[in-house]
Amino acid sequence: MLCNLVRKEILANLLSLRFTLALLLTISLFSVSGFVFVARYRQQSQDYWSQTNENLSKLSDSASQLYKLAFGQQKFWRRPKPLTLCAEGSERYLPNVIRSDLFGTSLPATGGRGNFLLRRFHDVDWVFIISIPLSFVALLFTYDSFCGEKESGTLRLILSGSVPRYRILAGKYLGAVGAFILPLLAGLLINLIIVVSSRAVDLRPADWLRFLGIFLISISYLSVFLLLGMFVSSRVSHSISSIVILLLIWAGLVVLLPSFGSVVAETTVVLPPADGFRRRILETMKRIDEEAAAGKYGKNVDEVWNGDPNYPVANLPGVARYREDWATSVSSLWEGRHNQMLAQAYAGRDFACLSPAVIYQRASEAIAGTGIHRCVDLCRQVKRYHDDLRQFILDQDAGDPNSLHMLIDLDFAAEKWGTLSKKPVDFSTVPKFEERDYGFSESLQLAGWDIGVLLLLNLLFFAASFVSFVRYDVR
Amino acid sequence: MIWKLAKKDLLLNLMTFKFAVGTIVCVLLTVALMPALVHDYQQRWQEYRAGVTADEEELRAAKVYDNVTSGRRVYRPPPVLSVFSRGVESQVSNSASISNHSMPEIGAGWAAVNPYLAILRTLDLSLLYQMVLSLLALLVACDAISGERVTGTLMLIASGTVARHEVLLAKVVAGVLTLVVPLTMAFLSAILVLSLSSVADLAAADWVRMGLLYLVTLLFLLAVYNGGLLISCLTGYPVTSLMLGLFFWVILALIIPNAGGYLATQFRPLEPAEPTKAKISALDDEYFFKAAGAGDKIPLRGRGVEHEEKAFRRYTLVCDEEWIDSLIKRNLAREPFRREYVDRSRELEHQYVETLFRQERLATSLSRISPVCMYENVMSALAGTDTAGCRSFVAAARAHRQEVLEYVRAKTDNLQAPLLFTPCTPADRQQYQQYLDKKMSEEEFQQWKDRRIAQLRPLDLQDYPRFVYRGDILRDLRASLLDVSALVFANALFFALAFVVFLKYDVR
Repeated sequence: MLCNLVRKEILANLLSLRFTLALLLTISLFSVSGFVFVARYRQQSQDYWSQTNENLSKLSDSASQLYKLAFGQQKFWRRPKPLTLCAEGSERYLPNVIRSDLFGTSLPATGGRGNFLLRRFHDVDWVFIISIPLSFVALLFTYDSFCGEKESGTLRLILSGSVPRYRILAGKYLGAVGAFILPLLAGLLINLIIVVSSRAVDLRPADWLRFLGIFLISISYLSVFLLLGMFVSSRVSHSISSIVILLLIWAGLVVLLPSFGSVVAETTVVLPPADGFRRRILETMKRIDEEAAAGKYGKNVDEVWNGDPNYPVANLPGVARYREDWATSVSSLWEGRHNQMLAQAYAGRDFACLSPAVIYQRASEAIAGTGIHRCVDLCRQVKRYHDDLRQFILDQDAGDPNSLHMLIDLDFAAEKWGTLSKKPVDFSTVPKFEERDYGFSESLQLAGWDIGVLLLLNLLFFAASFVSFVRYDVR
Repeated sequence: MIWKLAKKDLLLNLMTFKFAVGTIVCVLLTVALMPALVHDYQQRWQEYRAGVTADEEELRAAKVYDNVTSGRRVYRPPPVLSVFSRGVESQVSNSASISNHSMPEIGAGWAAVNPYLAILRTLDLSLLYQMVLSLLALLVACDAISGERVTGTLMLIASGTVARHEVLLAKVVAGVLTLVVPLTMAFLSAILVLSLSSVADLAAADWVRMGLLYLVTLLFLLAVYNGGLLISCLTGYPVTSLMLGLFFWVILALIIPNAGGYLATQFRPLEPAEPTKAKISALDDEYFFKAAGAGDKIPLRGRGVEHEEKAFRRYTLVCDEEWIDSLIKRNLAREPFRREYVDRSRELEHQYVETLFRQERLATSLSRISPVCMYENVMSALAGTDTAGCRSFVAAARAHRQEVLEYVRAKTDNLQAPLLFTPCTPADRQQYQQYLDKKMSEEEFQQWKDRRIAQLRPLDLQDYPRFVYRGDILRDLRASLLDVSALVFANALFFALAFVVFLKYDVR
């Protein structure tokens, strides 16, 4: 009987206007998404490899002398990922490059082809298509599940037989999911065919696993809206009332609530003004300079500025401590600001997670390994690499008896006084940076809570629909 | 007759569930959102005041004219109407550097904006109206014709002597009046919260702008309503028309605004910013060597004591005649190179910024097929938060820089007066000469220096050109004219199409 009910629902949906509209919408959106992604990915890969090769070539040049390796600034760019096809994660706007040398790592910055004059927009990726237009279409599939049949009188006919209500509910739900999955699958397949046939994207087996993961999360997310539609449909008598209520709930949950995140972020975590911060940095630099002048690091620490090799070099250890303090104080100020920026963004995101759309987005980003989490992870990886490189240089330097073994961030001090070794280094032994992706199990762990919440919402709405339908007056 | 029909429709609309829910939701959300938006505005205003105060303090402390031509910043006051539309205000720097070494240019700001906030969507009142009120307009319009057909009242009306255009006009009048109610309530509550907050000082121009914002919102809602009316005339059942209407609404309100920018970045991709930055940096080095070379041709003669109060506030405390003469001559020798550098680096930067504007214009044009985008463009233009507003601020900053440079030239006898670099007086010079002649010990000279620094009076800058930036309402109106016209055209088109379809509509 359940099969009959499901088949009837699927057939009814397939012949409806909403199915045609859903099919048109998904196919057109996923096609556009596929074509644009391929073009963008080609461009991004080209940029990334040229930037990375340039970086490696500079690193190779600087390996001619150890001190040059210490002073050579490297730029670490975020690698384009095929999984941005599914969840771009606002990476277009997030910082994508980190500069680093032995004496410090800069804050992540935004470089490349970004345009700050463009109004912020969502990439038309899977997450956008599914979280906004398709969640709405999902409501259209079920807004009249019960009240529509009540209006037409068929619900009374069905219930006059021996079919229990839970079977009708299950039939309606499975029928809606079955009918809805068809346009979704069609869209996704077309999207993937466009991407794979372009040969621009190298998809590994692990990527396919992640695609599957995101597809399942998408089904779970859309199922929440299908069940929400069924629930509201079982609470009202007229389909027009059902759609009005659902429309308002949808606009609130999917469009307005996520937008409140920015308001909450800016209200709860206040970022000190940029000019005030700049003054703070200047004051810190001045304070350290004054302390140096007052003799905190010993005498003549500023004589090194002279740069004259014949100048009586006095107190180089003091200079090393002075420059170290200087760099550490400034970078800790920057790091503090960076942490405040992240805290502000996370506060907004956490609030926005009251919306299922943001929960879905966060879960998909975690599986795809994109978004803000990836930016933070890239910073961590660069810092780790920075420490490795520092240790490598110190180890190499320790083997040179002609070096003074001092880390002073003034290249002429190394060049003229030999504070660091000038010996060549074997380039193959120099640590090189490579961005590491999260493993699938790590991604799954990250997305665990969000997937759990989505499943819980499914259960909740199914139970609510069941209770409501059991008490539904079909007359 | 039109009024009678309109009155009937108006009363029916006012008594519907959707109208009640839509109005309550819109007003409640406005009231809930406004304090947060005002708080945000207050923060930006405080940042602006702190910046202006710091700059004024710098000016008040300047001891030589060289101090007022570098390290200064001018600030753009946050537009009070940004609560209605944030536009690109939060993405673009709200300050510009005033220096003889560089030309102000539009930029993303120096860590002024938290880039990680990009993961969150911006919320303002225009978004609220785009979502809630436009949906309400659609809900009201979608069963205006098909709903009456299903209930049979349309057949009754059509069987009388009422012309069809009258029926349609009455529907439009009723729709406008229906939408005026929640819109007015929402606007009034927003204005009330805004005026009650102590931070917002509303000028007459702001009231005019708010009036225009109200009218534009009404025009936008009317466009949505007319679109809904057209769909209602095309279908036989209200549920079908509602479904079609919502389908188009999703495309116009959610997909096209995002797809416009998305496609513009593909059709007109930008060159990476790094080569331009590298060129400017190379130019900087070239200028440095050229200027240093030109200056080095004039040897620095004499003796002098430099003093640095803080960054960008450095001057020669005391010196002999030869020292200051050579400083002035060196500066004059460097000046042509400085100008050349400023012109060339500005040209490079300008070329790059123009490519950004071209992409932005394409995105705006592509998304203009949606009334939602037209509305958003007008709102941001009238609120002064669009790119044109940012550009006008940069133009004002450039004009101010020119004024400052001319002022300094006038005050320093075309960069030849000693006060450009030193506040040293003949009496100071005598003291210094005594020290040089060893008639004063090192310790005594140090004490004299400390006393002199404490006694030094800042420059009299009463007539110094002050920077005041105010938005120009006429410019903003001109900027919004195209989108307003497009909205009017959309209204006319939808209504005309609805009229044509309704003439052939089967009322049975």
